[in-house]
Amino acid sequence: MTALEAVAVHFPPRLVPIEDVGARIGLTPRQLRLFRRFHGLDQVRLDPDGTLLDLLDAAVRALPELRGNEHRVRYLLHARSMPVAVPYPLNPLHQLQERFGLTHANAFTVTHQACAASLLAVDLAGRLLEDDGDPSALALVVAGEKTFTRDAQLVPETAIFAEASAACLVAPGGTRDRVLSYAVRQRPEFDGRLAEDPELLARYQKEYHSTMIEAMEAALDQAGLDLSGIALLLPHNVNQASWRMICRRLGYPLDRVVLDNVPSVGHSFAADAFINLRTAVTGGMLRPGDHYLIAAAGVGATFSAMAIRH
Amino acid sequence: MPPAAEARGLRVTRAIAAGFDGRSEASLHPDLRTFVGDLVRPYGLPLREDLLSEGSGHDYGQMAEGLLGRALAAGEPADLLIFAFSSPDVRPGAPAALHLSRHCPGQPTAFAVCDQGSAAAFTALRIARAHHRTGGCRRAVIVLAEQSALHYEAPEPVGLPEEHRAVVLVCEEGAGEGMRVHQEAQPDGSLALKSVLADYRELGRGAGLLLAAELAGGTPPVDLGAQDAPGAVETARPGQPFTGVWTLLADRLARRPEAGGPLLVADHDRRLGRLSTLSLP
Repeated sequence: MTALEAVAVHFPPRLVPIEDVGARIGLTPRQLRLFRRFHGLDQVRLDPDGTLLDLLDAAVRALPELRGNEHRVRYLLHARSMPVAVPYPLNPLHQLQERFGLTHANAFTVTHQACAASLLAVDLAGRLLEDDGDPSALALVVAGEKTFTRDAQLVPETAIFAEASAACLVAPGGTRDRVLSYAVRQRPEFDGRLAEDPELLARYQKEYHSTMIEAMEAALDQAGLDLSGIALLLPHNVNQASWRMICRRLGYPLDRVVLDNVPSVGHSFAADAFINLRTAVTGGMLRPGDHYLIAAAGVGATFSAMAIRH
Repeated sequence: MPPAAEARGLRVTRAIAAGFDGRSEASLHPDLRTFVGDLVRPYGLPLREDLLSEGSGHDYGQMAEGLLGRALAAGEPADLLIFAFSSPDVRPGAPAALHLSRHCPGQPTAFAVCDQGSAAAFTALRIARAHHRTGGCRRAVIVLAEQSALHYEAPEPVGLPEEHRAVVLVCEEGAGEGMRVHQEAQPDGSLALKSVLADYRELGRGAGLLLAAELAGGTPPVDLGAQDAPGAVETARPGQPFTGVWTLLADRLARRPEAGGPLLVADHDRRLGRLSTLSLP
């Protein structure tokens, strides 16, 4: 059974108020009020002088569990929201692989599931490791992106992106955080320009909560759990309002949703899942044996959830 | 692995390849200029104003959508779609995999793999195999695409495709052992070729070998498999660094769908030093 062996995060030191981001990318005062008052956004972590390689490098350096185990890493996956992140044929992932001596790793990016790509990467890593049949092998999943263009800066009326990054070691078994289930719901009819198509945006927003809930319930069903047995919900950090709505519909207590990073870090693409797991673990929010649920959604649109035993 | 999974392996059963003329509307959409302009600005790379103003390049989703219906002509549902690419789409921020899922029987779960040069196609097949062996799929569709327009000056020398081209590989389970994918670091092209030829010899008489143009390095097929039956060894035509050898596979499967012997498909990404092979039983 796939297990998350260790998780590390990197927060770029610069905290930027959303009003400063708004001034740079042309948000109106009304849009900024919506983000601050309704969605609960405040500041985002950015690294204006750093590259994508810098972000991923810092996350991997923060993972001491990798030291001495580099030779065990068979897969290096970048879970990425943006399908294209650097000019072709530059390849920061392979630079990362060389830099950390992951010479036995097959390094590639998984994408086209936007910010739900990290759960996909964990699932793929687990399947590949299981298929290989080597119980000592590991996969390293990294996440984090640059906010280099408008589509990587803003989800209209929903989120402002940040540049925190994360790294997660995945094993084919073990007693650490064990993956019990993974469920995906895709709605490709929402592939389009949300910023320029108000009708599409309205339909997406209308369907968002019910499809997210459907994916979460499917993950719970697969794991043989129900929501009352979930100690903690780790959401993606798009905003607080959508999780208030989802919790109200599910009857799940909002104080068991890790929303701490929404105002203080921002929506860091596919890295949110790992960032919130790290917050939960270091904050003592999970006890051994607790079940928790990670949920993520990505424009395009993909909704996924993963049930895990701590 | 459970014995039942061993007894019915996944393999490529059908393949469709096609080239595409002209350009897609997305090549003239202002979004493309905005995206590539923002992408290259930190690197100081000049935009290719000629390509941006005349409209050049193709949309991967548009290219491949029609091939899915041809590859699954009886509407056989797939439960996994993996899109693999190397050079970027003219809709570089768009999830073509999800678009393709809408056009694929079964509307399968879809995602993409990239950033691995020509090895990405093999990784997609490896993932499909792992999905099958872990109970995740019975029929998978692998979509590969490349288009020829790069709308900025490349920061490093790289071979771009001469033609817009897409390939759809259908993977289905069948009795016996399934396909195997092997990938390894091998920076040296000639050593990569030697290794592939050794693997091919081990498959014995009746086996076939399909080589990517870059891997064959200009050596004529007849010199690579001189003692074999005519046509046993084929090399892809140059100019299609990502889809070339898969076009060859589509041609081979179309000509000899029930070919008796095993088949080895091989490619080598020289920039990343990655050798990949696919063994089909």
